[in-house]
Amino acid sequence: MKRWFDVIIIGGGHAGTEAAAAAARMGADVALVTMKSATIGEMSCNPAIGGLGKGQLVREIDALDGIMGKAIDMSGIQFRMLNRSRGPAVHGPRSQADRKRYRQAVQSLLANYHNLTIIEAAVGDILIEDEGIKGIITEQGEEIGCRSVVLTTGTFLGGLIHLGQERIPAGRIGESPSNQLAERLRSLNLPVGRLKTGTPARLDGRTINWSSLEMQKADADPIPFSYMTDRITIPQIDCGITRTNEKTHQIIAENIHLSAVYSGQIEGQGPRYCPSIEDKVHRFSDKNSHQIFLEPEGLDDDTIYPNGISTSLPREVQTALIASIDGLESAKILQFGYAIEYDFIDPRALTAQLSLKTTAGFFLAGQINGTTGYEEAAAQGLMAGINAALYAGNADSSVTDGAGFTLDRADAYIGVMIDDLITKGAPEPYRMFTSRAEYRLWLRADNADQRLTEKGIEIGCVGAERTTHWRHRKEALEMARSLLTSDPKGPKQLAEAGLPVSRDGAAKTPSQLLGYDKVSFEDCISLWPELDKIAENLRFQLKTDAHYAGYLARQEADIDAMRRDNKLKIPQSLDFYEIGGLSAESKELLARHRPDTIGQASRIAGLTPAALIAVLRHIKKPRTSITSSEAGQQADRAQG
Amino acid sequence: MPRIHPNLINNLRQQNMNQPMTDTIYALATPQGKSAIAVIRLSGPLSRTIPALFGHSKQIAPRQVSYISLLDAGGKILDDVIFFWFEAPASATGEDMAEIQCHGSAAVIEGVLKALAAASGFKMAQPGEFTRRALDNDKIDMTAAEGLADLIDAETALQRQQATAQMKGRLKQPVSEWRDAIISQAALLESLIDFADEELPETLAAEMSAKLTSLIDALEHALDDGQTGELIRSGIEVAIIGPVNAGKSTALNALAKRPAAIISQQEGTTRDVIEVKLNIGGIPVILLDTAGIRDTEDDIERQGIELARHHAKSADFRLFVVDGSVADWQKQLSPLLQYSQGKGLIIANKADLGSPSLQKEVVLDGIEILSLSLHRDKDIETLERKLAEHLAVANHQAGNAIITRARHREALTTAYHHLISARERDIESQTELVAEEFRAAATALSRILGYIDVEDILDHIFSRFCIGK
Repeated sequence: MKRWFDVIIIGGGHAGTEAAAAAARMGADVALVTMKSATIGEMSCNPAIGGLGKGQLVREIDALDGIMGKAIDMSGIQFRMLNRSRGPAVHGPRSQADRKRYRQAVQSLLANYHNLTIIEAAVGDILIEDEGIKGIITEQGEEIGCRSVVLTTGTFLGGLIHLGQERIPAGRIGESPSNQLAERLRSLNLPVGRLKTGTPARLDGRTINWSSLEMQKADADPIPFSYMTDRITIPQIDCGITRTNEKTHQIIAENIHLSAVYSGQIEGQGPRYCPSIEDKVHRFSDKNSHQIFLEPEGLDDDTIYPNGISTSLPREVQTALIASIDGLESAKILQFGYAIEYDFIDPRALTAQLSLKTTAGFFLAGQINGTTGYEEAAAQGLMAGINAALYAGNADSSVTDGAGFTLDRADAYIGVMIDDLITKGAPEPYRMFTSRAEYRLWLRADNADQRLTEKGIEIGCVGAERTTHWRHRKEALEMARSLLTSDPKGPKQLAEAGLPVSRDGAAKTPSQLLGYDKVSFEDCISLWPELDKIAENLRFQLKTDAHYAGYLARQEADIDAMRRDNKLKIPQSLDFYEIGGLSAESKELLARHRPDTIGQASRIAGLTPAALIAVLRHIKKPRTSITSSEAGQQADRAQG
Repeated sequence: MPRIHPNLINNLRQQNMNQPMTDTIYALATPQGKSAIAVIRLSGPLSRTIPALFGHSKQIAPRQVSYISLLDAGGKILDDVIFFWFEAPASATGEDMAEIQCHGSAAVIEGVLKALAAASGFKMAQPGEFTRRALDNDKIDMTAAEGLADLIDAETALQRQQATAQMKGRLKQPVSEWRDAIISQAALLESLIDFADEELPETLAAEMSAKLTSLIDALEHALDDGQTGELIRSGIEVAIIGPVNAGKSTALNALAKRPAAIISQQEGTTRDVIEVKLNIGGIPVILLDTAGIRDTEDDIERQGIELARHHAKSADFRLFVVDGSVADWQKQLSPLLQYSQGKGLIIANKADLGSPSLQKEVVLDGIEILSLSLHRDKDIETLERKLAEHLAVANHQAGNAIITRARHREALTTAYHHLISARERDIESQTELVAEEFRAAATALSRILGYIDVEDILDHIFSRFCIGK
């Protein structure tokens, strides 16, 4: 008899594992289908988690009880808080990972889910009937039934490695690509494009002359990613820092025509912010040196990841260029760098729940949606997993717009990313930055649990242990806040305690005082001894809240306006070409993006306010009431 | 990023929007009444079909001026007209547009308009609808639309010059430049934040603070304009203040060159405030005649006097009118001069009846005194000339001010305050807060250019346009 699951996740990378875990936490019967179960949780590129914007994503995944934060806490070997010298809103937690330990951590975390089955197979086809998912067929011919699918193929879909003039069909070095599936997806008439990314050579750490190099230490007090981790117990290591020099640049300049990127062999667009070394040398020719971090891939692994020199130059050129660098003169190359091109689906074909607009129950997450980075992939995996489980559990499969679990731009970086993807697409591989978030002062790494855990509990993706943990923390925070906002002291007392006094002589609460940069939590305890009851691990959070209070109050009106715009739905049946007062360009932009809401439309680059107003005017016409347009939508769906 | 103002949604709910904008709109662009030539303007997809609609079989190419006969429904000649049309998007509205230049006879115009009204797909333009379509199609921006509205309303040379300058970008250009500068600085800040591990030039912070200072200076300079632009646009308020029976209403009538106010020998004749719009030497002036200030038991008169005091304070300029023929005329002035704010002119009236003790002083409390008789044409000319001189001084920067409306000033002021707050923050340790201030400043400037909160002002502006423009 054929096997059957609620949800099938295809792919065991960072999107796939997070999707599988999330769907399982939601109570669905889940299968994770992967080509090779040993590589579940593999870090294909840089062995590190977090960074600016990315660190916030990991905290958000963790706040929704995901696995990435826990996995890196179990395997991180160089924890560093980036931007520590700047304000807390832009602190970025990051850690180097022990590649093997990270993979093991992910696999052990998944093993805790009893309703998750891991199936080792390559998927050859996805069964779609009446625009709904019926199941999958493996390349070996087994048919497995399901209600919903989350496809997370990473760089495997039509993957093609470029190394100089060589071209190797592969998903990762040494692993075959998913070509059959790629063809199947192309046959669905989805908007498929090509993107490119790259990775540097790997070096043997025993052959590097470390003594000549500057070293970068881990933070003395590593701060865990997960709210569930008390402290980091893995030993912390140093990274080396070296630089390219004029000789390196000369080698690159002389051979740049051999690089796969420059010889015109690659059609996919690569990211501007993660350029290959040949890109850097070519585009910033006035800079005669670029920094390289030498990052160990593990505690008991001699492999070194030279961060900053990703390349697709031929092998002999890579050998020469690495030997030209200080400390790497006799370094042995374990694996050459390469560029990889892969298929991605234009994410504008997706709903806010990450399912294909054209096929209900078919969810996509990770690099297939045009993103880059483990954290971006995991965050999408989490959301797709939750929604796939909701979809599978919903008896009425005609899930209407707005159903499912979504986060908006003021809830989370996850919301910012998904909104960006589905409204703007991915003209280059999409990476998270803090500057993408309008409400950055609110979307902080320190308050992800306050922003999201309650929502997670409500939807059902947060387990019992974390629910209890969070409820305790929430209670403690609430008590602390009430202490901080009561018992205002007058100017005389404040002055005596050496605390700032306002000119109007008004009495102040501890919370108001904490808003001053110079006032610390300890300063307040001197005047309000009862504040000493507040747990140490809450104090940074409370100080940060007070620090941004004025700005956050100002942003509230903006957030309200954004949410109102998002509530104004644009019927899917609307023909933008019928709207009067729209320029041809605006019509085309709207038709291409098909925004679901006025809010989404307002974020389409190049769309003018006048065009927005024309759309609003049109959808607000008395004769097209919202109910009738919704009915129209459903009718459209039914007819296909 | 465009953001829709909440009011917009309410406005839209209230509006009746049964008319799709793809109708072809038409309107008489020249004034009603007899004239040599009248122009009927059209915009919309059917503009090019006018020759066919009026029984003309030949196709006419765009941008080709043709002399054709328009036939009525019965096939009789309505008029011989000049016709031409522009093909979208190369037109004022961005749609197909056409012009019919017919003879300016009421019968001809009525005939053409009636035929258009009867044809399907045509509709009489709403006030401002042509401009509205131009804006919707990105043919003009918000500030240019405001400039156009002002040009149509312009009554004096200064107003015309100012409106034309705004249409040509006198406001848009510097505001866009400031906004671009703010955005490029904000981008640098973002790179400091998001590329913490990269090597960025160490001079970045210093460069940014220099740029910030120059931006603040530029905005400060623009804001410190004596509100000239708004004054020119709305007219300079000149209040005539003085004791009873000094000749205030006579002054108003003399400057207005018509009997706008009732004049009598009876004290307290003027009780309300009388307002007259004037063009004095090209400067738009709103002249206010007020009740004579004295102690009175009359309740209505007392209310009038309160109003007079109020206007004495709030006006942009004051004409203090006293009877210069009486010995204690200076004493009459002293309770009034407290309102002067350094901007006024004293008229010692009734010089024809003698002017005691005036030769010695021509200035009182820094206010120039004119001894004259408002019954002498020569003296009225002198008053006009003096008033024009003073108002021109009050508008020291006339011709340079870029701000012409309160909304511009509000947005610029907001941007300015955000930049000041940005400067008070430390770029290195409070980068994210400096970035926040930059973002808010850029948003405020965007509002002037019409990227945000558009609808609020759109309706306001367009309701004031004359049809056909």
